[in-house]
Amino acid sequence: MAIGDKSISAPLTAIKSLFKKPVTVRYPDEVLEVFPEKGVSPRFRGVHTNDLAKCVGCGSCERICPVNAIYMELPEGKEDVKKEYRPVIDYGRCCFCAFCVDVCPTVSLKMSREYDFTTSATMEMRDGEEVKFVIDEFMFRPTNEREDNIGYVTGKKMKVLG
Amino acid sequence: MNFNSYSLTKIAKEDKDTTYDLFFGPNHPGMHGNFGYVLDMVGTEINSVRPNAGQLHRGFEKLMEQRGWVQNLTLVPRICVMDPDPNEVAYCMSVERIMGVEIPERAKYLRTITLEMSRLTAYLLAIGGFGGTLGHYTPTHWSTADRDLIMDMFEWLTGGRVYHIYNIPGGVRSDAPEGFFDKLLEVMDALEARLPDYDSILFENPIVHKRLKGLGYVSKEDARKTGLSGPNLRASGNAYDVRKDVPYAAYPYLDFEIITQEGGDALTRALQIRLEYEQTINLIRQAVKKIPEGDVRLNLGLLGNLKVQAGEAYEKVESSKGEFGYYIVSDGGTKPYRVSVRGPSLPAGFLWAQKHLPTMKIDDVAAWMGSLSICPPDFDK
Repeated sequence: MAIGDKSISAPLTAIKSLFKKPVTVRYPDEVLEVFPEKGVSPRFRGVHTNDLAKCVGCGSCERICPVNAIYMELPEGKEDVKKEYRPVIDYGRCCFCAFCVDVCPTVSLKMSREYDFTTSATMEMRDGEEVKFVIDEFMFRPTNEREDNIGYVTGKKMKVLG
Repeated sequence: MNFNSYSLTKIAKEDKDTTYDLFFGPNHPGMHGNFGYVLDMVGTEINSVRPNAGQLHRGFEKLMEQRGWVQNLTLVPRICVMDPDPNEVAYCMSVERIMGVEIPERAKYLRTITLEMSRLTAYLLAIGGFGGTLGHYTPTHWSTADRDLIMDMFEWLTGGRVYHIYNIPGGVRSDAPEGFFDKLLEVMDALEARLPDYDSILFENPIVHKRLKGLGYVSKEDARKTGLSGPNLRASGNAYDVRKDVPYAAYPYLDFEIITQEGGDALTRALQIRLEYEQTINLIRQAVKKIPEGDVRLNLGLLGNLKVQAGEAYEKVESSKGEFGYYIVSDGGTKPYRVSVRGPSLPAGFLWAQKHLPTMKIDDVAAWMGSLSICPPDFDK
């Protein structure tokens, strides 16, 4: 096929786009054409969710994490044995690769479809005081509070462990 | 200091012999990353050029020696942001070659489909780049919107929009969801229907033809000698395509011809992208039609403790920029002993910059960078 230069008025065909609907929508709205449910795909890799009763504290997720974002920490008021430890995830480091979900032997660790992940940082600057950012909100222990919005899950068939 | 007296317009009009250094980049929309050129200017003409690399260096190859075989898969796509899948596939193919395993047929087809989808996103970005660098922003906005359709497909298939991390030694991470292929074919139809629009505003636009014709000419011989690859090489008349010459994944089962053009200038390279874009849509349709049923992954044991026997391998794939290769040495442990990455952009970004730019005016530099589709992260890695 040949693509040559045409008349100078050929680019004016772009004017027809003026009569089309805009592609973008304003922030809290979503384009629901592809994914009717909240505009997010059913397999989206978002913020984690962890069924704390199912989790056995094996630490596989901590070992596979390529960016060292997962720490196994003891929840308050629990006996100090290995099986009581539960993962705490630092979302400042997390790269949302979902390898932790892939290796979870009990399928307790999953990813939700929540991607809206902003927080406000307080910054105080008085005379001679240091600037402080509250960053703790990016680091927490995932629980099953997002269980109703599950995204990336690795089924039993694809399991690599157990 | 009166800055008005130093404006480029004034230099062009009056101070034709003024010499000065112009920093083109490191943050320039014509370049996909923090890489730039320091141009020694005389008036508005370029006298000599110094590539200004190093600001994008993150030590990928050394980092890979400190992480496990599978953990590295989160690192490799970052070597080329616009076209991440060739990196994943080349890395996985090298590991599989050392292990001496053959992946299931369905996984091969899924790899091919993701590779071609990734190529489409990169070509759409390149089409937008051509528009943007020529000051013609309509195709840029259009291609960004069209690219989002493929990003949605990637989100559905892999869970991620930009970094998919879908390929894994032994196959792919998960099978395609129900209804995925039908929707993918619909998206392909929508993208093909958009092509006449792109033709009329960009590829058949007389102004674009005037601006790009003869810019950055690379002869057939020189392209081969300097190691250009991909669309840049084929636009100079060399029929070389890794997909055809050293077939991998499902390419041996697909029917396509290598597209070559004589010309070797920026206009030919733009049209090359346009023609290969059509071919890519065709390849996706063929792959979806022929995809067999079956497993999508070999069981290679524990993912986290994957051990690869001692050995070395080099595997290459065809990306939207050219030939991407991964040379991997294993000493039998849980981490690679050495990983070396061959990126396609080095000859264009360094060598051809020093040959081409000194004959150009300042207005053409951005268009030249867009036409050779230089991706700095793959030489400044």
